[in-house]
Amino acid sequence: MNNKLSLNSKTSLWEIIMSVLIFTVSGVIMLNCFGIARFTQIRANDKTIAGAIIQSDMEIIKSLNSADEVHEFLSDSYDSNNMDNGKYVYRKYYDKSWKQSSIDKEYAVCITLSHNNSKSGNLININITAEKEKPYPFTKKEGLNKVFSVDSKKFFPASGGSHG
Amino acid sequence: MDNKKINVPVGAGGILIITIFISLCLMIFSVLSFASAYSDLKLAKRAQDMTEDYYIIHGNAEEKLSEINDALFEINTNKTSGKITDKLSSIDGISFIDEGAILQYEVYGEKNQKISVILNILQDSTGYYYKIASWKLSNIDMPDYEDNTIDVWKGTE
Amino acid sequence: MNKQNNINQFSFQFVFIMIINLIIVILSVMIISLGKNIYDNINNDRNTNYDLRVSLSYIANKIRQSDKKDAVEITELNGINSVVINEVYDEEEYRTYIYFYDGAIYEMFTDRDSAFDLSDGMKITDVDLFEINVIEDSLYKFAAISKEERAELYLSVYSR
Repeated sequence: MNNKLSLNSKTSLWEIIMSVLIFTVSGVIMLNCFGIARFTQIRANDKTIAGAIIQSDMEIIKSLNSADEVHEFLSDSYDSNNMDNGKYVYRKYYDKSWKQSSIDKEYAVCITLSHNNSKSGNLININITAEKEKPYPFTKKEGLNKVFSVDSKKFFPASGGSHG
Repeated sequence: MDNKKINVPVGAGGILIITIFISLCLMIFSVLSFASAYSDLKLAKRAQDMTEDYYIIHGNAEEKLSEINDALFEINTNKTSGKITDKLSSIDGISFIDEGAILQYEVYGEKNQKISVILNILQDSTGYYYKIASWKLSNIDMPDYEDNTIDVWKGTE
Repeated sequence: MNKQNNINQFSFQFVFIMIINLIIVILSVMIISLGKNIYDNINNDRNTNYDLRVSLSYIANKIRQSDKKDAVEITELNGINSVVINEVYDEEEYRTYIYFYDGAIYEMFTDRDSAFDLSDGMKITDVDLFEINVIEDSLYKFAAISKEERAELYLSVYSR
């Protein structure tokens, strides 16, 4: 008595090739998706933290009484400053955990001030921007380095007015 | 002697089905992760938009303040006679309460926000000056709930 | 000899298929564990972001919406600083207290002279700690801590 055990080897090979191909393609898509998800969450975190930092600096500037006090505050708390086309630019740097650091420059917060002197005081245009030094991975779009930005103005009366 | 041929289709479609099933589950999982992260990013962006809008209208309110202060400065410098309401009326958007002693204006934003400013116009030896009495943020339009009600049950008689 | 060849052929193909299966399973498990870690991180970050963002923007909006002369002050309530917002409705004076109690930020709206228990307030959001400090006359610092993440916000009151 001979029992022959025969395998449909051609069909199996085709299935193996198909399943490996499907798994490879879907694996690449999945890993991409996970990567994009992770960095999307990091972007959301960065917006929240940068928003609090920028608002705080803006509110401190709002509470000051003169343009000189503003420059003094910014010189003390920011790492560097320079003039650019008549505008004052102050910069400070943060590491990846959003702790201020001049060594590990993962993020930069930049304040640009320009003065409009009027008859009775000084109206300062303020722009505060938080940017990531390197672009987020898995993103190819331009302009995604900017994390948060606000534009505002602050008026310091030289005479005739008062905030209290 | 009997020859028996046993056909065993080992893994016929089995591997393919399992692979497709696993891939489908993992794809759903990865898309779910992305959807969760993206929803948080959208919330963060909305909060960012509201904050940006607030500071823009705050800046515009400060600009109006500078115009008012310029007008008061001119009144003090030129020592012109007449009501200060007449002098300040040239500035757009401001209105007076209490015969010029209180001045108010509003600045509107694009995200249903406005800042309502009330200034007290005071006078001392140097001349007129303002004091901020109110710098309130509020909504431009409040949500209207009245027309959106649905009658669920009118009761029995 | 044919039988031997058949047996060898059977073993080789069977083992090959099983190895492929095993590789697919191992890679699937690796992807699942990677995905689980990423999903956990995403969820934790979402919850922390929510707690910090809601608490600080809630306070910011409350203060900005009440920026009137003598409306906003910081007072001590049972040993901790709280934000007090004074309002007048129909010639009656009311106060809104915003304070930290029992792992959450609470809000209490009551008559000016009414006493209340801290637990009577309405819970706004859970946080591990919420600090309120007066920096200057009209500049306040709020700090929220949730799951060991700390966020700070300075707010200034314009009307005095």
